[in-house]
Formats: sequence, C-alpha cells, structure tokens
Amino acid sequence: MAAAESAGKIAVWPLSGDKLYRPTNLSELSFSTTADLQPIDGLVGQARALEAIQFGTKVERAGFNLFVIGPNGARMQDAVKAVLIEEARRKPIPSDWVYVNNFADPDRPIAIELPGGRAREFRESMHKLVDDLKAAMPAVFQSEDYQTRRGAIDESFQKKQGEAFTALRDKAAEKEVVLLRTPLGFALAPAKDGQVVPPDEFKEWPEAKRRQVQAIIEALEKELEHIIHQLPQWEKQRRDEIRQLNRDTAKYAVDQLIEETKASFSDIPRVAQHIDMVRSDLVENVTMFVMKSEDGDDDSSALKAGSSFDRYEVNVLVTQDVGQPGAPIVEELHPALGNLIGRIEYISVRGALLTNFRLIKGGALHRANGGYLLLDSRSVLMEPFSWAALKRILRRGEIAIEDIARFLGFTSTVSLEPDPIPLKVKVILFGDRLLYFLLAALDPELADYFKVLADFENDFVRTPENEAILARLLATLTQRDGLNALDRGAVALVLEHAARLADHAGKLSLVVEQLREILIEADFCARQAERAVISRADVDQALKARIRRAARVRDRAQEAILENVALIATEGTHVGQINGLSVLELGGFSFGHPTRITCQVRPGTGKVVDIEREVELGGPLHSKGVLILSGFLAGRYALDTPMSLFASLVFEQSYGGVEGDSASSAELYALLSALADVPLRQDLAVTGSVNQHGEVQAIGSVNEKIEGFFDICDKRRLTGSQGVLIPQANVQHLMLRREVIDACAAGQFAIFPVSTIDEGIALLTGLPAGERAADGTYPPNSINRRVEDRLRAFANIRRSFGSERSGTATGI
Amino acid sequence: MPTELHSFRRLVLGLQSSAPDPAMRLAVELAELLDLDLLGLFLEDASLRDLAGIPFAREFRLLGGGWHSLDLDRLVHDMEVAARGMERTFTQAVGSLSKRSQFEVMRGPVAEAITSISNTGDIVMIVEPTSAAERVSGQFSWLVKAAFRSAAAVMLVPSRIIRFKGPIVAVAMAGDDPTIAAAAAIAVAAKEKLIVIGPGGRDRENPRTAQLAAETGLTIQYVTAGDLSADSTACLKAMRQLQERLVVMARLPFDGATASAIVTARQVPVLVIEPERLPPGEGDSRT
Repeated sequence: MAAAESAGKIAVWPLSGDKLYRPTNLSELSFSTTADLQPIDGLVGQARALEAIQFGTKVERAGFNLFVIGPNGARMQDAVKAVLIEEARRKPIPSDWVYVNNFADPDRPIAIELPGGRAREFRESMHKLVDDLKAAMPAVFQSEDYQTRRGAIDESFQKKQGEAFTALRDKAAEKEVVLLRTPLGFALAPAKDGQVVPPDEFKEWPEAKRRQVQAIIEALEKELEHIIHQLPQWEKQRRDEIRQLNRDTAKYAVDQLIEETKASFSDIPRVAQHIDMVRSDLVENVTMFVMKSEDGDDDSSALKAGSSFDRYEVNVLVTQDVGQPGAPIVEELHPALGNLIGRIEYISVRGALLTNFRLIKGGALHRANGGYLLLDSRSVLMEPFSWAALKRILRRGEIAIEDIARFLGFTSTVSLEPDPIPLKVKVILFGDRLLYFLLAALDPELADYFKVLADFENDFVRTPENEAILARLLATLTQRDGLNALDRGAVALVLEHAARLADHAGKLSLVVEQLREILIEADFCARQAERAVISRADVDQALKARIRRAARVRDRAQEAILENVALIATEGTHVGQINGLSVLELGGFSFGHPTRITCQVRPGTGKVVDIEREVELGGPLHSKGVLILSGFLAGRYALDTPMSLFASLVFEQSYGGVEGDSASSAELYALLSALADVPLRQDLAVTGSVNQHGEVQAIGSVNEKIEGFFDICDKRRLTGSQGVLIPQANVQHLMLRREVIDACAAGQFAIFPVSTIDEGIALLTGLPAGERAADGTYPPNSINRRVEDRLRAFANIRRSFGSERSGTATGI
Repeated sequence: MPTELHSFRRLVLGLQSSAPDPAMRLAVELAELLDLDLLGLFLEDASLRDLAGIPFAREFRLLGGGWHSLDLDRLVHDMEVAARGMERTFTQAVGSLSKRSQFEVMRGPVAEAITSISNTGDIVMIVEPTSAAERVSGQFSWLVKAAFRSAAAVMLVPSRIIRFKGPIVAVAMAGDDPTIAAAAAIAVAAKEKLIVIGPGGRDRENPRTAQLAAETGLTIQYVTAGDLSADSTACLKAMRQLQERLVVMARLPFDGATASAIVTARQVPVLVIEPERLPPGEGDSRT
C-alpha cells in the first residue's frame, strides 16, 4: 500500500500490523491453566475507589455516606461488600429494637433498645408472662377468698337494695299494695290477698276507698322513685369497691410473675420500666383475664386489631444474630418507601382498617442500623417518596416511620406515630456516573448526605503486571461460577477482548460482568466439545457467537449496501462525495457501517447548511461539527474576501438521527472536494472530528468503524487500494479483528493515521493540500489554492450580483 | 347422658322480663347433659293487665325515668315485644338443641301458669333477677312460690354465676337421700366429681351410689356437716372450701328460703328436688 504524498512534505503511511492489535504478554505469569493461578478477591485496579470506600466506611461523621459510581457490570456491589465484610467484623453487634405498647397513649408506640440478641428473649418472656397470667388469674379470681370478698361486696349492695325494696314491699303489703315489674319499669297496684285487684272489682269500691288507695299508692310511688334514684349511686359504690378488690387481687397474682420477668431484664432499665407499666395496666384491666363471662362486658366485638392481650406483647422490629458477630450489611433490592423505612400495616375488622403497635414492620434501615445499607440509586429514585424519605432520615439521624398514604389523604383511618429510632448507619448508594452527575446538579442536598464519592474505573493500564492480575481475576471468576479452567491461550484472548472492551489497546476493561459472560459462554463451548479446559478456540467461538446472535441488524444494513439499496461506492472517485463512518449501538452490540456524505456548493452568504440539522435529524454535537467547518473555511481561505459560499451537507440515505462529530472531517473533505472541484477516492472511508485549525481529532469506536467498512469491501472484493482514514490519536485504540489484521498484512486493506485535514485531503485526492507561501498564496493546483480561488470567485459573483442590485435600486 | 340415672324429662326455663346470657347457657348445657327437652316459658303476667284497668295506674320507667300512665294497648304491645325478644334470645342460645327445645308464651296469673304446665318430670329453672326491685316484685315472688308448690324440681339460678366448672354438691340427710342419686347423675354427665355433704356415720354411703361410682368411674367425696336441718348456716360452712358449680338439695327439710340463701351466698345454681323423687328402680329397693 503506497503512502499518500503531498508536495513531498506530507506523507501518510498505512499502519503496520503491530499497531493494529496488541497481543497479551503473559510472560510475567507461569501457569498452564487458570487452576494454577492464585485467585484474587476484592477490588482489582480500583485503587482510587478502594481508598474512597475505606475512607467512607471508617469515618464516623454525619453525611459521610458513600456514593459508588462506575460502569454497569463492574460488580461494584460485590467489590464493596468484600471490603465491608472485613470492616463490619470489627464493629460491635448493634442493638436490638422492639416496639411495645404505650399504655398512656396507644397511638404512639414506644421503641426500646436492647443489647443485640436480647429482643427475642424479651418477647418470649412477655409472651410467657401473659400465658401464665391467663392461667393464674382465673384461679385467683375463683378462689374462695376472692369470691368471699366479692360476695360480701355484692351482698352488701344487694342487701342495701334489698332492704330498701323489701321495706317498700312490706310497707306496701301492709297497705295492700303490691310492687309489679312492667316491661319498661315498675308500678304499684292495689292488692287483695296478695293479688292485684281486678279493675271491675276496683270500680265497685267506694269512692273514698279508691281515693284512699290512690293516695297510699302515690305516697309509695314517691318512696319507690327515691329508692330507684339511689340505685346508680349504690351501683357506683359497688363497682368502685369491686374495682378496688380486683386491683388488690390482681396485684397479688401479678406481682410475683412480674418480678420474675423483670429479674431477667434488670440490666435494662427501660425494659424494667416497661414491665412496671405492664403491671399497672394488668391491675387496672384484670377483667380481660377473668371476667368476660360474668358481667357481660366481653369486648370481643369491639373494633380493635388483634386480641386484648396483644397490648402486653413485644413487637421485635430488629434483632441481631449473636452467632454472627459484627455489624450488619443489608442490601435492599426493592427500596420502596415501606421496605426502606418500615411501614405500619392494617388489618380489616368489619370493614374498618385498624392497626396497633404489633403491626409496625421494620425496614431496611432498621435492619442495617449500626452497619451498612447498600442501595441502588436508580431504584431509590424510581420509588415514590423513597429518596426524599432517605434524605430526611439521614438529616434527622433517626428512623421515623411515615405513613405516606395518610399524608396524602388516601386513608383516613387511625394510624400510629411510633417513637423514632436513632439511626447510625452508613448508606452506600450505587449508580452509574450519569445518574450521579445529574443528581449532583439537580439535587443540592446530595452533597450534604453523600459526601464520599467512590468512582470505579472502567479500565486500567495494560501492563504485564496488570494482565497477570486480570488473569488471576479470571481464575477467581471461573472458581466462583464453577467453570472450567482456561488455558494460556484462552486467558490471552480474554485479556485481548478486555482491551477491545476498553476501546484501547493499552488498557484492560474492568467491567467484570462482561468478562464473566464471555467465560460462561466459552465454558459452554468447551463442555459441548467435551473439553475439560477452555481453550483459545472456545473463547474465540464464544465471541463470534455473541456477535452472530446480536448482528441481525448489522447484517441487514450490510446487505442493503451490497445490493446497492444503500449507495456506498468502494471504488473510483467522485467530487463532493465521501464515505463517512458511523456506529450503531443496539442492545449492547455496536457495529460500524459506512454512510455516504455529499456536499454541494454555490455562491451564497457564507452559510454551510447541515441538512440533518435543518430537518431536525442532527443532534447538537453533529451540528457543532458542521459549524466548525465554517470556522475552518473562514479562518483559512480568502481572508481578505467576505465569505460568499452556500454549501449543503447531507448524510445520504440516513433516515434516523445523527449525533456526534466524528464525521466532521469527512464532511470537510467533501466540502473541500466540492469547492476545489477535485474528486475524492471512494475506496477510502473516513472517520475523525476536526477543529477550526484543521487538526483531526480522536473519535470513539474506531475499531467498529474500521471493521464496518472492511466488511463491505471484503464482501465486494478487496482491491488492495481500500482503507480507512482514522485520527492519529486513535491508533492507540486499535484492537481489530483478525480478518482485518490479516488483510492489512497482505496489503489488501490499509489503516491510515491522519493528523491534519491537509494529510487527509492529499490522501483522498492525490493532490497536495498546499501550504501558503510567503506571498500569501497557495501553490498552483494544490487543493487549498483551488478552494481559495473558488471562494474568491463566489465572492466576486456575489459582489457583482450585489452591485447590480444596488445599481438597480439607485436607478430607481 | 344415660337417662336411667335420673327421672327428669324436661327443663322448664321460666322467663320474665330478662334472662341473663349465662343462665340461658346453663339451661342449655344442663338439658344437654341430662338429655332433657327444653322449654322456654315466657310468663306474661295477667296482673299487669288488671293494673292497666285501674284509672290512676302508672309506671316508673327506668329508661328515661319519670312516671307515665299505663295504657293497656301500649302495655300489651310492650309485652309482645318483650316476648319476641326473649324468644330470639332463647332460639339463639339453644343452638344444636333446637330440635328438642320449644318456646311458649303463657298468659294469665304466674302461679297458675307454672302449676298448670309443670309436672313431676320437670325441672323449673328460675333465674334470680339482677335488680333487687325485681326480686321483691310480685311476679317473682309468685313465680318462686308457685314453682316450689308445683310437683317439679326447682333450680334457682343466681343472676351472676361465678363458676361453670367444678364438683357437684349433694346436700344429703342420709345415705339414701335422693339428692345423691340426682347429683351423681349430673356429675357423671358433666364428668365432674360428686361431693356429698351430710351428717357423719356409716349410713351416709349408699350401696347404689357406690355401685354407680364403680360403673362410671365417678369420684365421690364425703364432707361431714353439722345440723343440716336448722338453716343454711351448717350447709354454707361445709361448702366453704369447695369450688362447686351446682348444689343439689331436697325440698324437705329445706325450704325455698334456705335454697335462696345458698344461691345468694355461693352464687351457684341450686337444684331443689322433691324428697320422694327417686331414680328409676330405686323404688323397688325401698320396698
């Protein structure tokens, strides 16, 4: 392949094979398969992130929570967990937390802290206490002693009533009057021989007698009324006495059991205090244990959640496993508000939603309290209210369970306001960089609560030492996933693929998940071939299979070109027409393909029209690239003449959006070709952006772009003259496919590194670009001379056109 | 319950203005235990109709208070409402016993109603009213007197029953006292212990009861009491340490007042049976 020359000064030589692909150097490592390698745990090549994580996990200050960012698939969670496990082991076991009933205000349950692992014991003890009381209380209240005392009270009451009514009855009987019970009350009736006097007989009585009886009855009615009015007062006295008796009896029954329970928790004053409150409540509410059937005050029909005895139970919100020392590491995969900060549940009782302290459920923050909480930032942000609640809790330093439905007015039922629980947790958020930067820009509070940033590298430098480290990481992955070991050739190819994933021959990707996927697929290939060790061929087969599975769209696009539906010339020359290169990324698979870019010029007002932009198919970066072309022309040519150009640029047969400036150099070549009226080679494709000084700048996905053009040329027939112009700065990124490398080595294809537009235009036209001489002119027949002459001609045309219009106007 | 152990056939639950739920449950339980028919008898006292016919008659209403003149139509309506309410309560309480239960409303003088309906195979159950005023009312005293005058056994039930489990107590004057056999029948059915309170001496142990104990596994305990015939004092003293659920005693030498005193003091039901009441077959052995 010949170099391009321009006036003997500028020459662009095709890249040699060693620049197109950098093989792995495993000389630092002695092994036959990865089974021989020492596995490597934790963070590989992430010194910066590791330092941040270690700092973030150790510093015990408010707001110093971690935000871990990095590429998807970097398995940041696993890496951070590996670090945290060591750190967590050194921390003390956090406290247990329980909620108990607030006897003074049941809507505000009380939170009690217990030493780690004691919550269950507390719950069991209280449960046993209630069970014991259920058995003991009825016995005590059925005891002879109680019954005697109760009977005495009742008897006294009955006696008081009985005496009053008996006296009334006797008095009435003396006067031949009887007391009767009516359906609604009582009445007094005249009697004879103990029986009510029939009305007919009464009517036959003398008037005087009837009046006398009536007077007697009226007097007795007053006495009856007086007695009945006294009944409530007597009843109240009786109830007070019984209540006091119940209290005394219950205290006797309860005290011993309470003291036994309390003794087990004498070291926790808050628990002892609660048990004392339980004692007081038990004494006041002893009827629930024994007297349901007596006074008919069974409250089972009352609206309440759960049994009456629930009030003495303990709701264990969080408890620690004493068998596993250290602080908890909790990962919440579904950080909905309730899962994050806990929730208050309700049960339906006859259509009403009711709750109590036992229905308080802990969240991830409760479980992680005293340790670490790992959250995916995207998940947190996507859950309504979770992000705001998390920040609020971190600001307060305590977990307050919020019933959002209540705040929003979705429910109007009675709810709870549980005691907040002090929070001492290190929250670690994971996310991609874009999300972090957007959040940092849009939420100023982010910096208040997540002061430590751990930024995972996408890749690291490809030194023999680092290749050895990555090889050990491969050994770890194979062991962890139970895969076959890799031989040296397989390791080498995976590492080379890691460089390709990093888009840089001198770097290795640290996106572990992508490497793991390759290993799993290569392992599958090896097993299919009944090989116990994964070979280079297996890895290669896996890589090709991955591409094959994902490449339907690429193949259709190439098919369209080969069938001349999409017009791409790979031979000959053409004025104002060039092969640009673009990359499509669909579902994680990227491929390059050529696109025809054309340019038309004519005199105008100095405007370069980007047709993509005009129809709103061009993105801002693409438009920027085109506008730079105007700057380049304006700064280089006919500086003494107004720019009088109209040019239009278009991506032919492009029906979707175009973004990026990687085609700006190709667009400039097409523009220069159109202006100079010099044809461009169609057997070359071009990629690279350009600045206003004509320097060609690096672009992304250089490998895919080259391979995209190579595939078309290869399928048509490699002529030996075909190749791709890439920015010089992109040479370091080359990790091309074997077919491309072989074609280049055979002189059938070429990669030209280009630094300036002058180099590129010379290569594309076969004419020198030309340098401005001391007299300010470009050499004759150089591209630059032709362009400048054309621009001056356009200016003259415009000037003369302007003079004509001006003259006409004057004439008028 | 094997009916051969007793001669009761029917339980008549006398219902007036109110019937506490525990008493209703007790009636159902007893009917089930002794395999009895259950009759809920609502007594609509005729004396109230008579009273309504007297010009100045009026009643003191507990709800709302105050005196209101008695109107016959209104009174009849109120009594019907009360009867229907009582029937509903009774029907709910009988539950599985519904096929062998019946509810009746009887109008007329209370004493006549009880006398006409009860016979020797009946137990008339009378629940003490909660209110003292009701207890001294004419209707209640007429009911108690009529029940005790009838041929039926009478069960007095306190308004508040303190115990639904525990031994059955028989207050017996001698070893062949029919109260023992009746109490034993209930104890066997209820799977409870039988405690016999009586004067000391060898004759207190009846061969038939001993045989029953051997056949059914019934546990019998004897408690010696003082002079049982005097009044309830000796009886109550003997019961002091017992946790009985029911007391069975004979009408003679005891009277209704003694039974009532025991009900008040012990707050458990007391079944008062006719002295001549004997279990089937017992008569043969007495010839």
